[in-house]
Amino acid sequence: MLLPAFDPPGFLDDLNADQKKQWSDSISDDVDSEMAGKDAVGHHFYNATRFDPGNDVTNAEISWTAFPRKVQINSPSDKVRWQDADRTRDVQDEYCEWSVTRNGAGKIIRVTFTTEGPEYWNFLAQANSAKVLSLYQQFVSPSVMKADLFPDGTNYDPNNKFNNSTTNGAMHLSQVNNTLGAEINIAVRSTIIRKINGTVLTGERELVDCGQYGDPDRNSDPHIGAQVNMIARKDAFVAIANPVALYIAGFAPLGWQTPDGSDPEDFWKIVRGDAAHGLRAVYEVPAAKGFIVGDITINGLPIAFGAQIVDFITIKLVGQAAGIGKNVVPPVMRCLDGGARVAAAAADAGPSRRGGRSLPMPMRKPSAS
Amino acid sequence: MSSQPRRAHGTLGVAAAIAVVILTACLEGERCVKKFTDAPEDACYAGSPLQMLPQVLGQMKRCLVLCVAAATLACAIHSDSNAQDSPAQLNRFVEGTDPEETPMLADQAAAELNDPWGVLVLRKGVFPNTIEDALRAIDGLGQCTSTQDKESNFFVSESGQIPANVVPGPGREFRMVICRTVPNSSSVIFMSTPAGDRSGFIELMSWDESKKAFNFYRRPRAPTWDWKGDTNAAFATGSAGNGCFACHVHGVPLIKELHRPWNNWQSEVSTIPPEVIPDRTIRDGPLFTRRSDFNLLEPFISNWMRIGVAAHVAATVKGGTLSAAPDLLRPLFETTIVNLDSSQSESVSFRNLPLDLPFSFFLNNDLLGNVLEIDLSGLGTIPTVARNLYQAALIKFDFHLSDDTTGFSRPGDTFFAFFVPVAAFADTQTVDQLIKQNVVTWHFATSVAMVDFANPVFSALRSSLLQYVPASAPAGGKDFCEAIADKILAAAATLPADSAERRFADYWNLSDDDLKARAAKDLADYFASVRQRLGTSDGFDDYTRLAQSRRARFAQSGLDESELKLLLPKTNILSADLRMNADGTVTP
Repeated sequence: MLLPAFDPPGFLDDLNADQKKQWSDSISDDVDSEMAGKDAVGHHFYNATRFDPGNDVTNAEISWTAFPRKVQINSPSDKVRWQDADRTRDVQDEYCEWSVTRNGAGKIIRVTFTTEGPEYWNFLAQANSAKVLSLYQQFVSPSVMKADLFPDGTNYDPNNKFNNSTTNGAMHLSQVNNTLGAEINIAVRSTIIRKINGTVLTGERELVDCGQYGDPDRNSDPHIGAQVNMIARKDAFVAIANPVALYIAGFAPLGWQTPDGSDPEDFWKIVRGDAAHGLRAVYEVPAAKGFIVGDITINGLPIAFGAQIVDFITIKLVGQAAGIGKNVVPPVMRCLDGGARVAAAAADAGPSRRGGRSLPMPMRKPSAS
Repeated sequence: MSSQPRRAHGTLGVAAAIAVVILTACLEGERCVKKFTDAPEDACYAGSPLQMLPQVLGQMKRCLVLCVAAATLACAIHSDSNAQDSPAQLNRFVEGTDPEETPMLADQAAAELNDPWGVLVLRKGVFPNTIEDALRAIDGLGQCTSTQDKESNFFVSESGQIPANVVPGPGREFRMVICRTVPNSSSVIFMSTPAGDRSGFIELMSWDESKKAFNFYRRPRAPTWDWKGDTNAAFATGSAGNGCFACHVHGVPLIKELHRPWNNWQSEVSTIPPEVIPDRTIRDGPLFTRRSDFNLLEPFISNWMRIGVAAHVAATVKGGTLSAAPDLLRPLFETTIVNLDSSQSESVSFRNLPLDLPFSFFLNNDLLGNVLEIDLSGLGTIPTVARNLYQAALIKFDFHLSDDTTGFSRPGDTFFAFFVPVAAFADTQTVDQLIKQNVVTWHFATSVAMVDFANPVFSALRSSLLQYVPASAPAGGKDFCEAIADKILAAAATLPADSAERRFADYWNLSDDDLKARAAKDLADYFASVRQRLGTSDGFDDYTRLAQSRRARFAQSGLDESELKLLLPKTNILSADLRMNADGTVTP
């Protein structure tokens, strides 16, 4: 059946009915825009609010490790990689960013994780600035002032001081490639079946390199691309399941030991979204327990970095397949750039969604609440 | 998250956690039959996915069961059909100890088999014939790593990244690991893979919390099941190095490709596409279609390896006396087994980016950095080589993958480049436990580990120091280490500067702080030399030869030919034992 509307990420209830409609329209517009792109010829994607693929719709969860791959592979030891990943949000590029709160002794008392795309917050800021302020005060710090978020009094600064570091709060994603626009871009483009020199491409890297979407050096983008492409190769109609967003897939504290033997999973809380659509999580031990996060050990080592926790978190996108065998689209016989890759430096230098998005998707301006 | 299965946690204190591992593989016998030592080497490759997982039974609130299966339905059916007339029974057959299978009496089973597989299945008189029967027998158990629409089924194949349309194609063999945990699953799991003319069997590991050890099982032929021993048997005279413990030298699960990028496992890094699986019953079957990525299993199985290793060390030092000190300390000195690691980059790429090489090829960074906490920041980012140098080496040394059984041959390297043996996680974890349980001091372990640090595996120098460890000692700890060190220092007095003894003495005689600083500096200096040599054709050619030397060492030691055919690249490099020097040069 036709999807009535794209809901806000995690079915959040920050918006009123009109604003939710506008949010849905924004997502719909972006999907349409990506599908109509000149580099999207041959895609298998559909806009679930405009096309009814029938009733045989199945979801496919695509998950990946939250710890940034580029940091991991470049680090000779765990301590080095944990330090590097905790150093700046700029390297937290697997659609999961975090901020660490320490006590006066420097020990960790709380770590906050977010997967919320910046587009939603830009939209919310235009729709209801008071709501943005109250959410910051609720989830980041009661001391947040409107001027911190809206320096000129009107325009929201997503890189404000309560959302631009690994120590002073993380309200939503801010790393340049961590956007919903990127998610949609990758999902649409990766539904293109590519047959090069007689061979249908199936691998993570070859698909991302040939199709010029995402960042080939992350855990997330190549894996999303390969998994979505695998669905498309079934001649299926493909979409991102509603609500379109990136979510926390799981938290599995294996090898953790708490001072009192309590279950370390008890201190993990999803605080925005729901269990199946986790957008924000906090790891913190209640004061009544008499110990703090920094007293918990992982494989014998005390938690001294937020990144140690990230090792045990997975992030996900939920794909949707419909009409398997009914969406036969001829494979594309060439790579973008004719198969010759863009200069190597381009992949390593800056925003890396070559040919795709590196910036948030343009949003319809919501009406004020 | 509430959607996640709840798991037992902690290390040794895992309350009543029990692990079950079912391993199936289409093999006629032991897939790996020999053990690594650093002296005249034997090796084994447990290509068959071996697993284990915990579960809490009955009144225990948490059940963790890991089932690992690697089997072909075809061969399972084949073997099953040959054995339907045999009486179903449970035998004891600890190879190296027992001359043959003997029926296991009920009281023997009650004494030994208090793991979930023993309690829930075999001791109830249930003897599953097939992998699906086996999974059905533990049907009440749930997934241990699953996400919402997946199961804890993990697939591995050496042909998984070879395109489907290659003619002639390789023999395609697929194995899998199945893991089960909380009791909420009703799924029936089965798997089929092409098996050639080999017969199938099921292997299973199950954690027995009462004795803090894994029980090993095998179904050699339907409907018979054998108890093959437990973790303790991996170290016992007679059974050590035999049967299951030829590969499971630590008596714990064994996954060669434990860490990313997992050349042959389905993972978040590389998907095994359905198209490369010729058998529709496999690729369309629920075990495959609901498979999970191996990156989810890695922390789970690593945790159970830690638990098993820690339990063994604790059991060995219980009472204070070290009765088999060389065996216990061997992983600090020798390569008892290896893991396999590779570049994070594919050997074939659209991009002309430098190729990264694994840190672990150059040093045991896991041991030095994570266990011994040497500051490795001086090593910089991952070492790389220019693509043109790598590609030139592939041509020069005739790198190719081939399968003589089908005529398949393709020039080039493995899917992820530079696939090499590296120090094993189980060995490193043993050293970690030796320190944590005060068997050896940090200073002693570091002094040993820094001897010949440029050869993280197969170091004859480091291995030679094991001779100074006494056969037994009243206790571990500082005095124990100092006694060993005194013997080494005494010998060093008359030996050349490049001897293992003198190298040990150089580090041992430093204070803790100076040792830490010296180790960091030596490793940084070494890496600077390595990076310099990686910038030259001669330098990278040397490292290519060294890598092949280590592969050969690994491959010569009892590996099943069928495992080897696509696991490692073939080259024209003549066999020779090579070693890395601290200045980055490679010599015989």
